[in-house]
Amino acid sequence: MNTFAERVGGVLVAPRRALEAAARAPQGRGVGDVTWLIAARLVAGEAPRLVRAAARLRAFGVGAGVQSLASVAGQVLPDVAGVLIASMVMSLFLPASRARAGSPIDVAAYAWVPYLAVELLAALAFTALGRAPSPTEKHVADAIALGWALAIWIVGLIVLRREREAAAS
Amino acid sequence: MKGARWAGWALFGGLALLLALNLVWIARSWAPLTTVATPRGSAAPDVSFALLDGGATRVSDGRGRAQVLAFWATWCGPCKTELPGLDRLYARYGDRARFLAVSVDGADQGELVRAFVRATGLRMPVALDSGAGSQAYHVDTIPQLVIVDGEGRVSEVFSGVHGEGEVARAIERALERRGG
Repeated sequence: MNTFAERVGGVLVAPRRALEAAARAPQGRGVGDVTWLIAARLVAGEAPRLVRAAARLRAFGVGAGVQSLASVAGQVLPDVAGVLIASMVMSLFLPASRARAGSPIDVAAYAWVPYLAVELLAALAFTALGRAPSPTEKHVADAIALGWALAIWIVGLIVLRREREAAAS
Repeated sequence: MKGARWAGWALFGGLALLLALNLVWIARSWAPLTTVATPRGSAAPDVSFALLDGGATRVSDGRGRAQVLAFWATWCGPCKTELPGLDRLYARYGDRARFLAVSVDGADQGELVRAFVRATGLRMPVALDSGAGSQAYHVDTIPQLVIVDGEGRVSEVFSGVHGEGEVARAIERALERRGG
C-alpha cells in the first residue's frame, strides 16, 4: 500500500488491510490523500460552475468572483464536515490510552473514498444517460454511498481499536 | 496489491472521465455559460415588466432617460441591505433617471412583494418579473443593478451589494452620456 493509487484503491477492494496500513502510516497521510481526492472531485465535478465563477470574476471584479468561487468550493463542505465528524465520533469509541497508535482522522478520512466512488459512478452514469437523476435515484445512490462509507468506517474503528490495544499492551 | 492499484487507477480514471465530459459540455455551452451579464455598451434588452401598482412597462418606455433596473427578491438578504440606499438615490435622481425595482420573486407573488414594500416603505416603482427579464439580462445572482443610458445602451452592471456612492457615480455617468 505504498502508492497513492494503492492506498485509495485498497480501501475499496481490501479495506481491512488498507486501513491497517493507514493506522500504521505516518500521521497526516490519510488526510493528505483524501484532500487531493476532494480537490480533484471539485475540479472534475464542478468545472462548469468554476468556469462561470471565472466569468463573473472577469465581468464584476474580485468581490463577485470570490463569492462565486466560495459558493462552488462550498459544494465539498458537506464532505469535509463528514470526514471531521466521522473522525470525532471515531475518537469517542477508541480506548483511552497513552499509546496513540493510529490517527482517527486519517483512518476516518479513508471512509470517504467509497462514498466518492459511488457518487462518481452515479455522476458518470447519468451524464452518459444525458439526464439528471430523479429524486429517488439520487436517494438510492446517496444511501449506497453512505452505507458503504459507514461499513468502511466501522472496519476502520475496529482496526484502530486493535492497534491501540496492541500498542498499550 | 494489484487489485488495489487497479481500483485506485479506476477511481482516478473516473474522475478524469467526468472532467473530460464536463469539458466537452463547457466547450459546447461556452457562450451561455460565460455570459453573466449584458455587455456594457450593448442595447438593453427591451423586456416588459408588470408594475406592482398595475399596468405594465417596457424598458424602451424609459428611452431618453437614464434607467436603473434593480433586480432583487424579498428573500434575498443582500438585496434588503441595498434597497434603502437605492431608494435614497431614487429620491436624489428620480426626476432625471427612471428607477425600477424588479422583483424576481415570481409573477404571481404580488401580495408578498406588496407586503414587503409596505413594511420597508420603499418609494421607487416596483415591478414583477415573470422570468423573461432576468433571463434577458442574465441575472443569476441578486442583487444585480443594470444602469441603462438615455440611448438605451447598458452603461454599467453591478452584481452584489455596492455602495451608494459607487452607484451614484455610475448614474451620473449614464446621465452625462445622455447629454446632460
